[in-house]
Amino acid sequence: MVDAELVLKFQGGEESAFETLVRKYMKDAYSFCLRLTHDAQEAEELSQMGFVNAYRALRGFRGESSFKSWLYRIFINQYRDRLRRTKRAEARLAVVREEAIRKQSVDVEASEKAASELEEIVKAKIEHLPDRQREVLTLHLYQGLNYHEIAATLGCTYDDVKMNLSLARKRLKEELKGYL
Amino acid sequence: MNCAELRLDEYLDGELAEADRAAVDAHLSGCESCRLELERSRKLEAVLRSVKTGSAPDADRFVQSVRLRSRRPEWRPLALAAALLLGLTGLIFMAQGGGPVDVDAALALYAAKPSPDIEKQIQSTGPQGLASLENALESSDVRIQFAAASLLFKLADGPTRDRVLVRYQQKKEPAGAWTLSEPGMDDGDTELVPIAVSLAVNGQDARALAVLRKLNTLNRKAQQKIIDSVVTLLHSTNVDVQRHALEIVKKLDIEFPLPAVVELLDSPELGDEALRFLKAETKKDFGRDKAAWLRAIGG
Repeated sequence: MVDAELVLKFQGGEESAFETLVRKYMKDAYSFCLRLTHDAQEAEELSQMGFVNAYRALRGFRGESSFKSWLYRIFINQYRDRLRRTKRAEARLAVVREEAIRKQSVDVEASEKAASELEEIVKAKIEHLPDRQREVLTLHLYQGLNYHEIAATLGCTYDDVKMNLSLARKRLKEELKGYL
Repeated sequence: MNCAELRLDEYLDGELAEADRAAVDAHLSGCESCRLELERSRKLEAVLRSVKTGSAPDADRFVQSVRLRSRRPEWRPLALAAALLLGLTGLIFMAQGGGPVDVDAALALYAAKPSPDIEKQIQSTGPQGLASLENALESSDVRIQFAAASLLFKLADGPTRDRVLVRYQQKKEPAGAWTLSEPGMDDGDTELVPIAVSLAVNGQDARALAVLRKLNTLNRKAQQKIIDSVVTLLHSTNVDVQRHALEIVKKLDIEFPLPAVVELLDSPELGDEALRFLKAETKKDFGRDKAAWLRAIGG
């Protein structure tokens, strides 16, 4: 059954239709969140809460975009909120904050040295892309969304998607040139 | 088409219309450097796709969890079960030689220098650790307070985070540093009203009232929002919710619209209390005669 039918069934009061949607998208959602967070526990929490929020909002969904884009938008927003909260929580009074920044740069160097396997290196490079480039690349490469779907998910234009994807690839080609 | 006009990314991603695609193909057949660039793009794609993520969680457990979390009234037994489970995890951790974690000591270390290791230690203590963190919000040392609030934001579940949020907020200072401040100082703090009101409804009246009082004193914009939220709750069909709302009306120094309280006179459970409140407020007594009350108070 296609998504739109399931959405209509749910909106008509058939709760099990939502469960079908969760089963259909949970693997994608989880892997998407895992690629964003690099933390299994956090990815599960994020993807579960994304579905919880989707459940609460789905009655108001009017199909302006595809269900898939709409759902990914929820995950992205959820992730950004969490990122903001974590950043807020980790930020400290000035002195402590500086320590954290110093520590972070040491961590990056250390992790680059320790990343003997290509996979780890690639993950690290993707992680250090600017937020928008990372989101676009992840949605395209790993979630299989086309440019229009990504634009609908992120609330940006088709050209923004094109530009960010191109910039991400350019940067990764440069940073991974030894492996290409 | 020259090399600069070539839309290789779109070509690779299947985003080009047939005619544009054919034009790129024609260009590629005669341009070696663009063919090499396309080859590099394909290799990059292969390298990036080779990165696997871990296996997904068990579908049934995942669905069950989403189902339970989607329905707030069922959260409490679930939270209790989760708390028990977490407590058990903490015990297992201790039994496995991890040793008991002194949360207060760990928190002091964390306040001096935050580290993921300390965070994990505290997390391993489960709900007891979270309770200690909540207690530490009362510490006289602002750095301990801050560390406790920060950890609670990261480690606790949604309702706990809400509780922390309504007690302390993290505010950005002009210098770029962050600090904790009590709610009510900013106009944006009116967002806390529904959270505080829902805490009251969840039986945490004292804490919620303290926050609502502060919001009301410090932020006039919050007052209308408080009135709206509480009046809505007075009209609830759930008598417990109505009872909590009436408590807020009685204890908060705000002039709530009395007609909403008059409506409660019919309630077998809350009628007496509503009448006492109306008599005390107006120094009048019309018994259970709602029409007379409404005439008298202009409702």
